[in-house]
Amino acid sequence: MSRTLLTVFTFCSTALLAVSSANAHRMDLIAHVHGSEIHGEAHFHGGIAAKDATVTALDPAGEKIGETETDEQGAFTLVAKFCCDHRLVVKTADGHGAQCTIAAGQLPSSLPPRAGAADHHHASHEHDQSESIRADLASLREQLHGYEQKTRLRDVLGGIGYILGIAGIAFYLLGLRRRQADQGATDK
Amino acid sequence: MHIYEGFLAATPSGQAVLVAGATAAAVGTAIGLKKIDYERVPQIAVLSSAFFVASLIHVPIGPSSEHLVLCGLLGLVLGWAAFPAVFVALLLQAVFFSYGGLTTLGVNTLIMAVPAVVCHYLFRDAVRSRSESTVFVVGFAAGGIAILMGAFLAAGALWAAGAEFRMFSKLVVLGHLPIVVVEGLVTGSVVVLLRKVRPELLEAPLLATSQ
Repeated sequence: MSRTLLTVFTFCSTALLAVSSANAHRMDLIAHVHGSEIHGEAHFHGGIAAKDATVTALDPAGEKIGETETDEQGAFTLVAKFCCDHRLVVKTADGHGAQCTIAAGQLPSSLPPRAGAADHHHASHEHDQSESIRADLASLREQLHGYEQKTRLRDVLGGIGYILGIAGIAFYLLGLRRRQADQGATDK
Repeated sequence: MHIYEGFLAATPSGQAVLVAGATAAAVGTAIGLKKIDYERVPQIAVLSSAFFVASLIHVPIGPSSEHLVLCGLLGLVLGWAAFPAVFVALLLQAVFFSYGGLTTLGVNTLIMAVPAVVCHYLFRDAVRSRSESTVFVVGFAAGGIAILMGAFLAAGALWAAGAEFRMFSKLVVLGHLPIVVVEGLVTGSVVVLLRKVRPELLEAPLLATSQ
C-alpha cells in the first residue's frame, strides 16, 4: 500500500510544482492612456512591484520611440510622441520581462503620425477604439477562463491534500489507541 | 446522484428526510470508523480521493453528461469503511465545488455509502473467484447495482419529501440508467486489475494474467 501512497504523493507534488514554477517569475505589465501620456505599472506575479525596470516603447516597425524606468511602486509614465501603436516592453536587470500594446486609436489624433507607419488610424479613430476594447475584452475572457481552470485544479489538489491530512490524523489517533492497547496488555 | 442543497429544505417532510438522513449517516459513519484498522487507513484515503475526483470527471451521454461515482468499488474494497470515505469526499465536494451541500450531506452520504456496504456483502465472496471473467462480471454487477441502488435511494428520499418532488424521483432513476453501464465497465476493469496487481486489497488470491 505504501507504494500506492508514494505514487499519489509524487503525482500531487509534481503537479503542484508544475503549477507554481510556471507562475513563479511571471511578470505583468498593464498600461492605459491619459491625454498623450501612457501610464502603466509593472509587477511580478503576486503583486510585488517591479522597480527600476526599463520600459521601452517600440513602433509597429520595431523601432524605439521612447524609453523610461519604473519607480519604487513599479509605475511609469511615458509621453507619446507619435500617434501609432506603441508596443511596451518592460525588462528587469535580472532578465524578467513582459509586454503589452497600446493601440494607436487610444492616443490623441493630434499627435503626428509615425513616418513609415500606416496612416489609416486617423480615418477610423472611433472604429479603432471599439476594436481595441473588443480585443481587450477577448483577452480578459481568455484570462478569466484560464484562471478558472487553474483554481479548479488547485481545488482538486487541495481536496486530495485534505483527505491525506485526515488520513494522517486517523493514523495518529489509531496509533494512540494501539499503543494504549499494547500498554494495557503489558501492564496485565 | 447528489441531492442539491436547499432543495429538500423547502417542505417540513423534506426537512424530516434531511434529519433522518443525517442521523442514519452519522450512525453508519460511526460503525465505519469503529471498523477501521491502522493498516487500512491509506486504502481508505486513496479510495476517498478517487471518489472525490471521480465525480469531477464528466462522461458525455447524449445531450447531458454524467459522472462516475465508484461506490461499488468503494464497497468491494472498504466495506463499512466506505461510510467515512464517502462522508469526507462529499464534505470536500460540497465545500470546494458546491456539489450537494452541508444540509444534504447526511442524505447524500447514505445514497452513496449504503449501496457500497450492500455490494460489499453481496459480492465479497464472488470477487475472490479465480476466473478472470467471473471477477469482471462481479465487478460489473457491483458497479452497476451500486448506481441503481443509489438512484433508487435518491428517488426514495425525494418521494418521501413530498408530492412536489415525486416528478424528480422518476427523472433521477431514468437519468442514471446510462451511467449504470459505464460504471459497471469501469468497476469491472478496475477489479480485474486489482486482482492482478494488488489482490490483498480485496483479500483475495493473486489472479494469474491470462497470457
